[in-house]
Amino acid sequence: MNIQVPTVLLDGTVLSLVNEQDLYGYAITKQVQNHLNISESTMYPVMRRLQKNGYLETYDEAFEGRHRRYYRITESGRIHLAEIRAAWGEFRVAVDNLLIEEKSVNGGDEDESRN
Amino acid sequence: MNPEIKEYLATFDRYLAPLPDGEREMTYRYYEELFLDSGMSIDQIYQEFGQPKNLARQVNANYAMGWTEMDADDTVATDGTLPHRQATKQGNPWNAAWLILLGVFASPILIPVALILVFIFALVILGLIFGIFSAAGLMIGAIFLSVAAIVAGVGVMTQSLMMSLMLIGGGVALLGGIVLIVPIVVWIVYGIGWLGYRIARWVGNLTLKRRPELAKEDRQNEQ
Repeated sequence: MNIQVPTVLLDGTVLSLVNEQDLYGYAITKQVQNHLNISESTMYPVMRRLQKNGYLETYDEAFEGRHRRYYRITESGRIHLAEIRAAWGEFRVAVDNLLIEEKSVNGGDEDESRN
Repeated sequence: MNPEIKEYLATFDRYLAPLPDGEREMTYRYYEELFLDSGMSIDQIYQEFGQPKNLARQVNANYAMGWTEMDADDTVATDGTLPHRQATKQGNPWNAAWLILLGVFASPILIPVALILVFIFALVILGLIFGIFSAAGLMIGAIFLSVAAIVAGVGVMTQSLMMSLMLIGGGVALLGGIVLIVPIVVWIVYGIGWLGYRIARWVGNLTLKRRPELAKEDRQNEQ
């Protein structure tokens, strides 16, 4: 069983990583792979799309006699990240309410379907 | 860099030729850097990305499909990128449709539905191409006819002025008619290409956008 990661969430995870610090391509891929089952080839379209939409910009830095392309978040990238976080927050609560029977902590609204 | 990886990249780059220069260079650089930074062996690269030709075709197809739109239910492409607005604006739709189909065939998964769709699509396009060639043949014939009429008209001018004027007038009228029809024909060809592009995009959505991991599961399920 494998839940497909919607592109908007992949965009969000990349923006969130780059929001912490500027990163180069493989570092981003590796960090995402630490958490999600994503193949290397999945990342290129994500990076390109984020650049095309102006959420990320790039600059080159010398590294071992070659260049590494670093990604930096833009102002509109930060705004977009905030939107994705908000949307995900709502979605997560909704799915948790429907899907998770055992509620870990907090009372809040009780789940009537609970046995 | 390992010479085999170098060769992989060179082949990859060759097949990226349909992309605009900037896009091509950016794609190449991304993969070159990824290979260097990840330290993948040539075997790992083949396992993850497949043949360089197929990798490039998927990138091209995704470029032609223009995936900047971010529908919430969108899932990730196996590879590539592209802004749809740009792809349709600058490229001609025939070309874009062709790139997408190449990508579909290059993708690791070709689900049966997509295979049938591609087949139907190919038949329709073949029919249309025949139609376009016949139309082009008719028009070229008409151009020859009008030129012949004008030449003949000039030729008989000394013998029969009426005949000459009639031939020249007819020839010029026919040429004028062709000139009027040409933009309409071009428009129709373009329109059909656009339709083909939409169909190709649709087929591409069914195949290219599916994640490789999922594809593996599908194949297992089919067996």
